[in-house]
Amino acid sequence: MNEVVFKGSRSGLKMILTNTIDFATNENLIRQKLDASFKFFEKGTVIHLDADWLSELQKEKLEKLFDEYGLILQNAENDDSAENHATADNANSDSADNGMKMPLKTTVINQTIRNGQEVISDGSVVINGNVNPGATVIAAGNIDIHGACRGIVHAGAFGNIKATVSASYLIPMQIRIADMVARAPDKCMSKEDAPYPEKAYVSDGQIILEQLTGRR
Amino acid sequence: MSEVIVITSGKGGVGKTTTTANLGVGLAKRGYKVVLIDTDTGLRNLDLLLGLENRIMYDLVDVATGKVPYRKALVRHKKHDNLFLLPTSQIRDKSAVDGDQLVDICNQMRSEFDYILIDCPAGIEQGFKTAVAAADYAIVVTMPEISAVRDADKIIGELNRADKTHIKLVVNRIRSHMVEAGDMLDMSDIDDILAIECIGQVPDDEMVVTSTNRGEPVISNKKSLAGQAYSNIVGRICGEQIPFLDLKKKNLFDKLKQMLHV
Ligand SMILES: Nc1ncnc2c1ncn2[C@@H]1O[C@H](COP(=O)(O)OP(=O)(O)OP(=O)(O)O)[C@@H](O)[C@H]1O
Ligand SMILES: [Mg+2]
Repeated sequence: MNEVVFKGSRSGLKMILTNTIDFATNENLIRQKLDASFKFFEKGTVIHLDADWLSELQKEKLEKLFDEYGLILQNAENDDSAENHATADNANSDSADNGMKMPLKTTVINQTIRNGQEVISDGSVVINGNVNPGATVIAAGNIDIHGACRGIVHAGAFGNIKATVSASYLIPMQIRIADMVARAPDKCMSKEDAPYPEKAYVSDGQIILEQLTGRR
Repeated sequence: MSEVIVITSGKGGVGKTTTTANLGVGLAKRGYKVVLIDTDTGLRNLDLLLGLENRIMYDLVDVATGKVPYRKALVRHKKHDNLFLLPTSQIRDKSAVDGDQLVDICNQMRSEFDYILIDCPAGIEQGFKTAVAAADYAIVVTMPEISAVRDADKIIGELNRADKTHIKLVVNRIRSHMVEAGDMLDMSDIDDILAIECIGQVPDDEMVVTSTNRGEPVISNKKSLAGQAYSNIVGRICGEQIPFLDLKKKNLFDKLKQMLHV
């Protein structure tokens, strides 16, 4: 199920398709994915389409599909270069940027995010429930999980390197903050591996974990 | 009172058919009138587990298409005469029956049967959608390993999306000594991830396999721990409060051993 991938990038939220499967299959997979997750999408969220190989007609079809879910699909501009520049060094200018555009809103979700479901937000996200293995949370701002985080979490997904991920039990498959990645050890982790609530943030060019007091 | 229960899992081979057969026999032993509907076209089907292969005349597709009334297709169990099977089609096409047709068949059966159990195919495709369409509630079967639990998690998401929110969990093939080895999950992690009520913890038990070969589900075997676990599930389905079997006697020792090694 990794043929259709949603990914945060400096220029916004992207949907990446592989050209190894035909359009009808891609369309189907997208629909499945939106069906599984759409209620977690903020209405009016803009998603950039990264699939040059599609015809105009096919792109139009996809735009209509997204429109059914209240989402806006746009053609991705050539932003690869911008993406590659993202390093810890220009973090400051970047977050200042973000701050100027608009204050980030916070979405609160009161349920467990299950395998195959994705939460995508152009603000911050608070989840009162677990994020299970195979679930993904992507947010432009912070991610705060009041429960166990076992899935993939991407905070500051549009380039904000000041973003944080916190959880009562932080045992994720992968943590991403802006373009930094940290992954879990190759064994399956249990709650015992997270004796206290933790917060992940970027410091000195790497993702570090810090104990959170007064939580859980 | 009539209840339609679908037995589903996501991942294949975790014990859906075994569970359906055992619960069917267990409920029949308690005097309920039970029908098992096989919606899968796999290799180890319900008819085999119940030793009824040679008695099949008509199947689910014949009933769905109106070729015969359901009573004509039912196969009565040899020992338990209030247990019936509606066999799966031998035609390997899971889309031959749709959800509406199954709902219709179940509605016809409700007045005659106390329990209607539906054995679901693996996966989340059309066969799954058909099987769950008629269900009042779902039993999700999983095993204590990460891939099976992840599939169960996905299935629960799908069930919720189909407005099925009444879901119970059965954890099958528990091997306590493997939980400690690291690639098996323990019950508390499974409970925490899936967050649905667990009504069964069934140990891995060779007698499940040997009894399958004899066409008599393991629940009839008093000596089998798995059989006992299935009896307990039947009790819980009937609303009884039954504590779980202690499958972890060795755990404390294993844990100590592990700590000494570090
Ligand atoms: N508790 C158990 N202990 C030992 N073996 C078991 C147990 N439960 C099931 N098995 C064995 O595991 C295999 C798969 O079981 P079963 O056919 O019931 O799974 P299934 O979920 O229906 O599979 P499918 O997805 O193919 O329909 C069978 O060979 C069965 O005998
Ligand atoms: Mg089966």
